[in-house]
Amino acid sequence: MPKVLIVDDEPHIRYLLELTIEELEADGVLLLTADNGETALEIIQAEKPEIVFLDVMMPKMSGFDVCNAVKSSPDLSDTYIVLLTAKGQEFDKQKGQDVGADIYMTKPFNPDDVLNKAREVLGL
Amino acid sequence: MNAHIVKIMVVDDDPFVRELLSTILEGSGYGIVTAEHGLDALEKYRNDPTIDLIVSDVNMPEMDGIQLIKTLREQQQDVPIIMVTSVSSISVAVDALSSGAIDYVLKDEGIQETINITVKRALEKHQLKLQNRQLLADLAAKTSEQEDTLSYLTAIINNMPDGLLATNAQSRITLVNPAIVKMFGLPDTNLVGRDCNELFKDKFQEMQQHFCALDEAPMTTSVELTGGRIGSAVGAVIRKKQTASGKPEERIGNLVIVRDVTSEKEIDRMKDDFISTVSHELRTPLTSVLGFTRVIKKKLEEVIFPLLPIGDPKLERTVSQVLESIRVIVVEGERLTNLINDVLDLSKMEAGKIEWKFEPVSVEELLDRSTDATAALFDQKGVELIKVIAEDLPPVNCDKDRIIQVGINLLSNAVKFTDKGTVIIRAERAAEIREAVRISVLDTGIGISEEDRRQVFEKFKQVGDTLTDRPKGTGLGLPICKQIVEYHGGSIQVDARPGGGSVFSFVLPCAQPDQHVG
Ligand SMILES: Nc1ncnc2c1ncn2[C@@H]1O[C@H](COP(=O)(O)OP(=O)(O)OP(=O)(O)O)[C@@H](O)[C@H]1O
Ligand SMILES: [Mg+2]
Repeated sequence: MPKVLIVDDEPHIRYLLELTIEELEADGVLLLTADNGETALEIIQAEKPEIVFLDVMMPKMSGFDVCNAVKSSPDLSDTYIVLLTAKGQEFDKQKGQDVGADIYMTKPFNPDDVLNKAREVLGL
Repeated sequence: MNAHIVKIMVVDDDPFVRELLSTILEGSGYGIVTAEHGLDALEKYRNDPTIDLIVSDVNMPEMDGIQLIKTLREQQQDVPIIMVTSVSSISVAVDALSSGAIDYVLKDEGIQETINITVKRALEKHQLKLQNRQLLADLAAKTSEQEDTLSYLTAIINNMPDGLLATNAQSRITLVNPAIVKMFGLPDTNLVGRDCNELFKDKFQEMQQHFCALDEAPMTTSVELTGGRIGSAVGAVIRKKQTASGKPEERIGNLVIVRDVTSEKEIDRMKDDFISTVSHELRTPLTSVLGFTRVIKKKLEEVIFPLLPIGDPKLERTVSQVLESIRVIVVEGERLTNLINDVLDLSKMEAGKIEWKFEPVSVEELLDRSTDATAALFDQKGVELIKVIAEDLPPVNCDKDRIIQVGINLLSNAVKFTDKGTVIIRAERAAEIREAVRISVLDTGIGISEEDRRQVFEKFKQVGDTLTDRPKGTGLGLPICKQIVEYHGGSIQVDARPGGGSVFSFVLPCAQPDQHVG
C-alpha cells in the first residue's frame, strides 16, 4: 500500500494538505500526518512512505534536519521529499538542495500542484 | 640700521671724564645721555628705556657702578653696561663682570681708542645675545605649539572608539591606541617596537603585503576581533613630506584603522531575519486562505453542485454568485502573494542579497519563455502578440530567470494597458553599443504621457488617473525590471510609440565569445 506523509506544525496547513490529497485514498493510498520533525522521522523510519510533504520551519527539528537525516540514511534515501517553505529566500533553495530535497514548493502552493506531484511520484 | 642712532648713557661723577667720554662717543656717531651717579642713571634709564648701552664709572657717590648693575639686573633690565675702571682697581672690574657687566675699559691715556672698540664689541655681543634669546624663545613657542598639537592628537587617538595601529616600513609597531588594544585583547604593556605580524597573528599580513607591493590605494578588509566580534580595517600608507630638507616624499610606514562593525552586521542580519519572518507570517495564512478556497471550489463543483436540482433560476443565480465570490478571493489572494513576492524581491535586490546565476543564454529562449508565460493573458484580451527576432544574434550573458521575469513584466504591462491592437516583442543588435542586444516591447495601448514616463520606474508609481481607472497591480513591476537590467550592466527605457502606445526597451551585454550557451 503506497503511503504519503504530511508534516507541518500548522494544523490548518496540515488539514489543507490532507484535504488536497485525500482523493488518493480511493486509489488505496494511506495518508499519514505528523506535526513535528521528530515524529515525522519516526514515522518515516517505521512506515517508509514513498513521498513526504515536509514543512521547513518547525520548532525543534526543522524540515532541513529531517530531510538531511532521511537522505543520509541508506535505507530511507529513496523517499521522495517535497520541501514546503514560506520563506522564499534564495539561500533556502540552496539549503534545500544541500540537504538533498527532491523538489521545493513555496507557500502559498497550489493544491493541484501538490496533488499532481503525489500522483506522479506514486505512479497513479 | 642707519635710521636708528644708538643711544649711550655715560655715567660718571667726574664732569671731566663725563665730558671726555661723551665727546669721544658723540664723535663716533652715538647719541649721548649723561648721569652723575648710579641713582641718577637709574632714574634716567627708567624714564628712557630706549637707551642701548651704559658706560659707567665705578666709584661714585649715592650709588656706585657695581650697585647700579646689580639694581638694573634685579629689575630684569639687561641693557649692556661697560665699566670704566682705573688701572689700580682691576679686581673691581672682575667684580663688575661677575655682577653682569658686559665688558670694561681702563681709564688711561688709551681710552680714546679702547672705549670705541669696546662699545662696538659690546653692542655686537649684546645684539647676538638678543638674537640668540629670540631664537630660543621662538623655539620654545614652537615646541609648546607642537606640544599642544601633540596633546590634542594624543587625546583624540586615546579616546577614539576606532582602533589605531601604525607601523614603520619594517612592520614594527610605532603606535597603538587603547581601543585597538581592547579590540584585539592585547597585553597591557608597551607594544611599541614589537613586530606587528607576530602581535596580531598575521591578521594584517595581507595588508602589509599589499602595501609592500607598492600599491598605495587604501584597502579595506574584515578582521576577527576578540569575543567573536567583527572589525572592518582600513589600511593606508604613511608618507612623510620633507619640506624642510627639500627631499622627496618618503613612505615611512603604514596605518591601520579598525572599526567594530559587529552591531552593523547584527542589524543587517536582523533585517534579513525580519524580512523572512514577515514573509513567513504573511505566507502561512495566505496558504490557508487560498488553499481552502480552492478546496471549497473543487468540492462544490465536484460534489455539491451536481446534487442540486436543475432549472431553478434562483438556485442557479446563487451558484454563480458563490463561484464569482470564490474567484474574487483567489484573484485577490494571488495579488497579495505577488505583492509579497515583489516587495521581498525588491528589498533583497536593493540590499544585494540576491544570488545571480550568470550564463550565456540564447535570445530565442528568453523571448520564448516570456511569451509562453504571458500567452494566456493575450488570449483572454484578444490582443495579438508578435515575436520578431533578428538573425544571428549572439547569446547574452545573463541570469535567465531574472531576464525572463523582465520580459514577463513588460509583456503583462503591455497587454494590461492595451485593449485592441498588437503587441510586438522584438530583439535586435543594439545599434549604439556593439556587443549588446536590445529587447523591446511595443504596444498599441493607452500610452504614457511624457511627464509620466519619467516616473514609471519609481516604486509604487502608477501613472494616469489612478482614482478612476486604477489598474490592477502594485507598481513594483518596472522598478524590479530596472534593478535587474541595471545589475546586468544594461539600461531600460520607455518611449512613446509613434501612432499611439508605448515602447519599453532594454539593452543587455552579449556573452564573451569564449562562453558557450549552456
Ligand atoms: N505598456 C504600458 N502602457 C501604458 N502604461 C504603462 C505601461 N507599462 C507601465 N505603465 C504604467 O506604469 C505604471 C507602473 O508599472 P509597473 O509595471 O511598475 O506596475 P503595475 O503594472 O501597475 O503593477 P505590478 O507590475 O507591480 O503588478 C503602471 O501602473 C502604468 O501606469
Ligand atoms: Mg506591471
